[in-house]
Amino acid sequence: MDAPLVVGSVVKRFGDLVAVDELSFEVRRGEIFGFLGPNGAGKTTTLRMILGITRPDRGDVRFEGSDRLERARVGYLPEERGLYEDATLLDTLEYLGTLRGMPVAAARRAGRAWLERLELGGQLKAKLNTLSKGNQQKVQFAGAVLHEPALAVLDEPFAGLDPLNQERFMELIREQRDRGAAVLLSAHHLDLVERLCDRFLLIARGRALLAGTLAEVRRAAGGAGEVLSLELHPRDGLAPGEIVRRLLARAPDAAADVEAHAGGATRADVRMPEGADVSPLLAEAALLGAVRRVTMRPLRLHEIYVRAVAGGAPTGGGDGA
Amino acid sequence: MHRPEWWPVARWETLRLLKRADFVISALLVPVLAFGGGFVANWAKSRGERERHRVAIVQPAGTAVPAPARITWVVPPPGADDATLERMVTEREVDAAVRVPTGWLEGESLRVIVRRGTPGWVGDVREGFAGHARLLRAAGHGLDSTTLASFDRGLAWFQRSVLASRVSRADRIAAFGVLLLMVLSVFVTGIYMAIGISAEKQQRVTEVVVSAIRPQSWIDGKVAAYAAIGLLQAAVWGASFVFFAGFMGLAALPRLDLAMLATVLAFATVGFVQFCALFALVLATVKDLQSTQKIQAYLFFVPMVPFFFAEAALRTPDAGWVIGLSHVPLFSPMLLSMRMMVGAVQPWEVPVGLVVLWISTTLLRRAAGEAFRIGMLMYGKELTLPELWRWARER
Repeated sequence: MDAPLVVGSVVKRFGDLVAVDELSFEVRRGEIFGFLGPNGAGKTTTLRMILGITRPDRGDVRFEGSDRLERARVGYLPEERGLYEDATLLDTLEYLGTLRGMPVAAARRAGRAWLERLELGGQLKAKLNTLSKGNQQKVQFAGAVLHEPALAVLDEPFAGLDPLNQERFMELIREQRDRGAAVLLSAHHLDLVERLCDRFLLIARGRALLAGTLAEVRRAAGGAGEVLSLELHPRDGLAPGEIVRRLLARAPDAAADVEAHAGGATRADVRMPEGADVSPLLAEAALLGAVRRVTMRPLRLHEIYVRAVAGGAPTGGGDGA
Repeated sequence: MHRPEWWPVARWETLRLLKRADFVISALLVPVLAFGGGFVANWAKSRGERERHRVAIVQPAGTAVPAPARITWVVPPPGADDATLERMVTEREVDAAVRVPTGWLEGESLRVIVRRGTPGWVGDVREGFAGHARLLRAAGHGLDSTTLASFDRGLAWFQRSVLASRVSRADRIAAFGVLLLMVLSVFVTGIYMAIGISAEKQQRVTEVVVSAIRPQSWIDGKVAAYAAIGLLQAAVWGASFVFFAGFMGLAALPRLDLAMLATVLAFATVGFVQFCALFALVLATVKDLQSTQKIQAYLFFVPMVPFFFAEAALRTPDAGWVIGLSHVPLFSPMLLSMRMMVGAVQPWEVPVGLVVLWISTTLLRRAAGEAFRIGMLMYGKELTLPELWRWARER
């Protein structure tokens, strides 16, 4: 079985509200699957159904081919963080390990090893409430993967972390994938998610909007595959709106965003179809002022997300499975 | 060997509670008070029994009132007036002084001087005078002491109860002690449970735990841990009371046999589980410690109810309504145990009581598990009954 988790057409209602509507996807062994969506999209409800905390009204959630969730083989880092503040780090990890079926001694050994890896080896007997937020999060992460789960569900693992710890967490998450776990990752830090995930599913209002690899998602996001980024120092009196109008007059199929920065610099991002001729745009840019920098880059996940959610993109790209 | 899902929770909760300083203090305070109090009271009692008191006595010529037990008469200097007697008392030459007037048998006051208040042994002095006056007055009527004793001899009285012939005062005290222990322990256990569950809500550990085990296992583990702790506390306190009673020689041993002890223990065990399930059910619906405190008064009233019927259960344990009440779940662990200890339970009542208790406990546990599943996920919200019902249906 390559996909430990298969979610099939699940529907969940709360009264008149359809929180999750015919959602299907799978998470494969040895991959990091990005599960994305705005607040209220139905992500937490879906995760709770996967974890067996609530049940779908329709559809099914299959874990390793069975509709019976084997909780001991799942790890979960919830968005609503919480551990026993007055308990020691080692006791906490021992408890979380035993909850997942580990014998007490094994859980204690694994907890000690994880704390040492996370540079908390000197604080085995420290209480959780004496740690910084970042270190508390490390303990919570260790508690989620201590028992080497087949499926690790990580909900907002980067929340509240500084950039260094974000990088550290990315390494830890990649390690889980490399050991063969299926990792389901939900996060709003899309720059990190883009670097980390092998496949994505973007949902809104309980329905799938986009799914697949980054390339597939880009293709599905309305065909605007590349961004021409210009750093301009426009002539006096040119308002951003005027810059947009004149640039788009040379590229009718494109869309543009312009940001005026301090010191007279303006950045214009023009989203264009892949392979489009950019020379008319560059010629027009030269007429608008001094062009200091020109780059071409693919569409970022953040841009795809914003466009898709704001525009309600149709389901596209891969099928999530 | 397969380990039940609730076991890690029970182990965790038990160890956490046993490490709590306030729990340890409350569990040990009673034995310490019992041992300490028993020791001090016993020491004071034996010291009081050994101590003798010196009393100066001035009595008319020809009068010789015998000194009561623990009292030594001291004869003051001849011609000692009240001022001399007061000085002797003030300067602690004697503990008290008594002047016996010539007409004391006719009602003239005996004059007693003490330093302060009325010490207990002054009563012995007074009784000594009263007894001697009685003898002298009887003699004045031609009665000797043997005749007087024959007047005083009590009536022989033999009473036999048909249904509870072997119930002693010690049995009743023990039965009430069991009720008291259960109520106190349930009460204290409930308080710890309220603190623990509201802290878990505030610390938001719910999702971590219910993703690992079923909510029912979580509640079962908690209930098992708190019930075990409650029983342990009751056992420690009970042993302290028994020690205290034995130390003070307060009561003869109650009539206890192994089968009765086992039955009472079975009712207590299931009863503790039931109360813990009830507490969990209600506490799952509150949002934090403040709102927990609001409902505590109502919640903790429930285990107090059997107190109001304790006297009836002891005096008329065979009354129909007492039998009925002692089979009501939540009350049966206390009332049925009490009735059993005064020998008033018919053979059919024990199995029926246990089965009813077991079934109701199972239902309450299930309800608590469901409320936990719903209520513990609703951070920061009070859960109303209609909401609970709606969520339970929607799952």
